Amino acid sequence: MKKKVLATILAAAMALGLTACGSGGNGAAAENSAPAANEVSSEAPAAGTQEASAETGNEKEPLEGTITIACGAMESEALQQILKLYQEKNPNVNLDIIVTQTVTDFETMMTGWIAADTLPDMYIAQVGSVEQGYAANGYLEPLTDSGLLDRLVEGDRELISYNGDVYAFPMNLSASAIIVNNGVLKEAGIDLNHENYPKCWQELLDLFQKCVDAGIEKPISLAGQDSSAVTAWTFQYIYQTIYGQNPNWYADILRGDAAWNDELYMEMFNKYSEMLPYIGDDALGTGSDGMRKKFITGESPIYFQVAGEVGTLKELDPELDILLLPSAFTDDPADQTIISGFDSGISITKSAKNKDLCFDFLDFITSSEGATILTSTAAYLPTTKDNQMELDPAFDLIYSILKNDELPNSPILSRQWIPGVKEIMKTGQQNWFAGEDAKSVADKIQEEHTRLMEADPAWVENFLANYKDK
Amino acid sequence: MKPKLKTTIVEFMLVLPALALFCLFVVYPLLGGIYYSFTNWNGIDLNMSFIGFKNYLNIFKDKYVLEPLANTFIYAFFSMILLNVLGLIFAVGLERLTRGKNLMRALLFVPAVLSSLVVGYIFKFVFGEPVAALGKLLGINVMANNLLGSKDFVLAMGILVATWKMAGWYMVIYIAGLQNIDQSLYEAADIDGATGWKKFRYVTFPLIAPAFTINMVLSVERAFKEYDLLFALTGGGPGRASELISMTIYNESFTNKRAGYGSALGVILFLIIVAITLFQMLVLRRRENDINY
Repeated sequence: MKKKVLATILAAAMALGLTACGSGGNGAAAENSAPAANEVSSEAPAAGTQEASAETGNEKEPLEGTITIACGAMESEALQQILKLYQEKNPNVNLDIIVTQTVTDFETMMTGWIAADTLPDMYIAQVGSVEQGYAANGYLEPLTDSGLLDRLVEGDRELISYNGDVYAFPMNLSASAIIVNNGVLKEAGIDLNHENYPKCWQELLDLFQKCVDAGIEKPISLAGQDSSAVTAWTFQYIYQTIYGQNPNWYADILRGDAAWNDELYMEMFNKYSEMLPYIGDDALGTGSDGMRKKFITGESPIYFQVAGEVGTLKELDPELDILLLPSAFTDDPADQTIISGFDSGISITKSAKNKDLCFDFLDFITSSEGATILTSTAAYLPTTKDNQMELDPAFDLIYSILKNDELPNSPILSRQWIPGVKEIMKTGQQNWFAGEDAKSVADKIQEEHTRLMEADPAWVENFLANYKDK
Repeated sequence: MKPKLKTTIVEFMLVLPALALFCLFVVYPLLGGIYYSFTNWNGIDLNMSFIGFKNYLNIFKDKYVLEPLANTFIYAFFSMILLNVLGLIFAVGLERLTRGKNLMRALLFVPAVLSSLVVGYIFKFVFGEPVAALGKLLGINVMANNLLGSKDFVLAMGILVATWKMAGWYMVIYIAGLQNIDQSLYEAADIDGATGWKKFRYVTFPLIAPAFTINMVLSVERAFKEYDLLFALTGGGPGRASELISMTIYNESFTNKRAGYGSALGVILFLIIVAITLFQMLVLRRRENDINY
């Protein structure tokens, strides 16, 4: 009997362990870190859709087949909703969705797919130099002559193009911004609006101080453990302030005319030092979930991230009153810019089994119906001209700035940088937070960057050959 | 056909399916990895060049590789000691329990079947919340600000979590070793007036030598290959304070787009594990042979 009880306990423990293993991927999803991919077969019920199709007198022959598509978790949710609508006219079309959690996950998976010659038919991913690398190697179908690009709003197409052709249809107008828990700030008596939002570095510091005066001891939430979060401020500073002074700064680094330890970059540490008293002492031990928790609870109601973060925050607390502000790191308000650029590009691969179907599905995604679902579900700023999305109030301020061209745009140029740069900056920022001297940190970043350049001279050569000085 | 030859053929045929799968999923990727290690492949381009031993030569002067390699040796050394000491203590200690022995064994074994990622994330929370709260209560700043955020403590915390997770697994191997010891040896030791420590020192420990060998070899080999636990717990940071060589392989291969260099690092790691394992086997097997039963 005793042995039977033990066996039952052990079996239960094993089952628990296996369940935990199974949910490991989801845990990773929540943490947004573990190198894992989940496959979701999306087969929305198609019953009755043929009738609907007949009723509407559809002239086009319904398409059939399964599209394999890689994308993020929120995009996956949106695609499944879009598929349901698409199936009304094409009931025998299904999606085989491969969910990747981070940009690195996606690029890792792509390396495997390239090696095994098993690329998905389509994918949605961050646009930039890696994407251009895929296009350069002939893995992607050009979209230039598809006619779909007429639906795209005006914007810089550099990151979605290679050699004169467009290879991705961006679905998100990404903005890198200051994210504020507006509800908490209002309670603290700080009412931010279009007129009084911080427009320069001093005004931003004043905002932090107002928070402290109102009893919010450490107003800035920072996840020192997370590469995206710990480098967000740094990247924003580079786009807005360093590129403001030298728009060719990175190209100059590659040419040997500028460096990560030059005055322009070192000045960033001076500003960061001024901000340090407003950041919690435990920042280096805080992960992205911890950062969001502090933000939502109001312990630290301000942080720096891309606008896509709003979707994640709203998922955690749908009632959250959020406001996005443009970065404000320049000394002179006249120099303030808004940091934005196309992102989340949909591409079709050359190896797609049914290209007609892929193009037709892309046509549907970028249509008014499809784009509205995708941008609403993923909390994206729309990039298509005909989009009926109801914008979250969090975007009100920056969307009105973007729409009315109130501030010059600083493009998100970092995505054209050499692969691995973000990891170098993460390590540098963490070392600086851990107490290392700024000069030593900057010297190491310069050294590591040189190492990457030496490892891939062809990339440097190609970048400089295609670079147009600004 | 001679019966012996016939038996050999039958045996080979029985092994063949497993051998084919082994070749497909182990040998083929291994050879592929070795091939890529001699190239400058970036993981994307269709073209790559054969660059001979350049990747291997670069590794030994690359401080961004040597630092994680040093971390890995530290991690492997201390986790090997802690896992074996605790595993042995649990096994011997629980052997003496008269009630609840099996329940305790089961409880100690449970962490070993949990996913490393889950354990990593759970302990990330533990260090960030209850441990930090305790640190605040005790006025210990480094603890209050999260031990995982300290370059001085982060690797040690990784070793502790790995030990918490796997000590029960090593305990099971030691239990198997203990159960193979002839009880009459203890009776003889009792007659000779041996104390508890002396019985352990002169009877138990020498006679669990095979279990000790297995545990020493496996704990080191696993530590060198550790990735997911530390990835979930620390991400290799702060800085590179807890970066293990497996993380460097991943970063070089996929983040830095240096698949050839990453493959060379993988081959080096493989050779290190083989060398250490052979050394351990040599020393520990000799010890087993030297024991007079």
